Amino acid sequence: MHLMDSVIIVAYFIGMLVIALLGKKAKSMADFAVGSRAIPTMIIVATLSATYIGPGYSLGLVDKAASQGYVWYVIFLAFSLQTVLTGWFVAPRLNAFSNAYTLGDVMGQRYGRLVQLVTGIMSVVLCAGFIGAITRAAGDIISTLTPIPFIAAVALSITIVVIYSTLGGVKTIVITDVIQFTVLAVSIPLTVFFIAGLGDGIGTISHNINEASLTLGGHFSWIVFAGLFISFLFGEVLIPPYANRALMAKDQGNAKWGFIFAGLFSACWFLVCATLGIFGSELLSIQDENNVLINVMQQVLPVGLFGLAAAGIIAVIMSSQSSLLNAAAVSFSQDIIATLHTQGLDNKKELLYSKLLTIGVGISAAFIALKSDSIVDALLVCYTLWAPTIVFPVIIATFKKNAHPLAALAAIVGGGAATAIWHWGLGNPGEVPAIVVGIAVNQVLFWSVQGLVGRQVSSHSWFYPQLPQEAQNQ
Amino acid sequence: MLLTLVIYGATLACILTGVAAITSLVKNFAKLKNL
Repeated sequence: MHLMDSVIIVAYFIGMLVIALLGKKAKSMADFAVGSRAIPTMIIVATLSATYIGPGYSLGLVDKAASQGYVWYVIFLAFSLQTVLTGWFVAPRLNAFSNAYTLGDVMGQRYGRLVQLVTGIMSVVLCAGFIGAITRAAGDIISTLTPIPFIAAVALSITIVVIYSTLGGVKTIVITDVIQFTVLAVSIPLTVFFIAGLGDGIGTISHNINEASLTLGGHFSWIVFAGLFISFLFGEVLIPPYANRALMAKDQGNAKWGFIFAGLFSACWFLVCATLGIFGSELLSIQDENNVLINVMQQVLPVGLFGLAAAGIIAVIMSSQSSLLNAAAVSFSQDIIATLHTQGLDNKKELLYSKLLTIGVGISAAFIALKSDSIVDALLVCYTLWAPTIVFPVIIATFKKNAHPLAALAAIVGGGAATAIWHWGLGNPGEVPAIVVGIAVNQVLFWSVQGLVGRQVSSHSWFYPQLPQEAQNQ
Repeated sequence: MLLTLVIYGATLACILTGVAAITSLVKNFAKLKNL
């Protein structure tokens, strides 16, 4: 790596730390968890996009498109569609829960403490699994891009992220997310223009994309394609760091348009990534199927710009790590500790717990990422279970005031069990994805139980909606 | 040709969104920093 590129990367790491230290420290849970609910649309777009664009939605897509073409772009578009629909229908309704710090709070305000606790456990395990996986990828990517060895790369990325996430909470994360988003959204797409400059300008692109890479169904059976599309459509709906972006928006309009524009941005971003992958394999004949984006950048970008694009890839990693870390820590203190604490927790104590948990979760995730692939995989089980358990009850919670706690509980338990049996017990018979079966069971159970007990009000404290006035007025 | 234009359009949209985001941060920085 050229000295100038190294200087840019080092300057980038230091810059992130300085910005974090300049910010005002979080003094309340509202500060730490939802940035005092004052974030405007364009900043929601940037922080949401910086969060969902992790290694999978950038380098992963480039690698997939390099081997199988634009079919993967169409599959990833399901995520864009989901984000737009969430923005249109759900994000403004979530934002109306003006006392909520977490998705678990929303569930608790509709379905009671038990459902909040279950949502909290799912949220923490899901986020911890993601952080572990991303931290492992961080070690691989940074050690490939720079002379920094794997263990030092893991330690460096997680240390910087833990420092800025702990000091300022989500407000500092949002500020750094916007800077990281700008670096990644400008530097990585610029590579497309440099590729076009390799041949006959604008014509290079269409001349070098062969027919096979445009075949949508050629690489899979249609049922596998549909299964992948559905998994991308529902798999990450309202996972905790995304839901937090809806809660932190200044008002319902900012939440709505923040999600819609972030969804539209993702459609453009995915096209850029898929194109870079196809070019890597066809124009530059890159054989290494695992690091196509880094190889493309190394081959086409001039000195200085490569350093900036490498910083863009590091931005991809750190912005996702920090948002997941904050979501895990806040959910742990708010949905698990505070829910189990019968006397309730005062704000200062809860803030202290959240900060300590940020450090604890960060260090444990890095340790797990270094020590054991199987623990990360075990934590990622919650990713498979998220859509068939939590997603639909939370969407219904935003629409239906009298949704019953027992209906939500039955849907979560039944949907989770059906998914586990279909996926791990039966091995997805007929190639029908477990997520489809799980969601179907979740919804059948929800509406059956709602029909049976919907008019009864539970007096038990674990099943009594913790509904504040603001949420009732939506 | 149409595909080329779509790819260039998407690339430009990404870059412009990045620029719009940092502009919005600069405009709102004092407010965000002191929340």
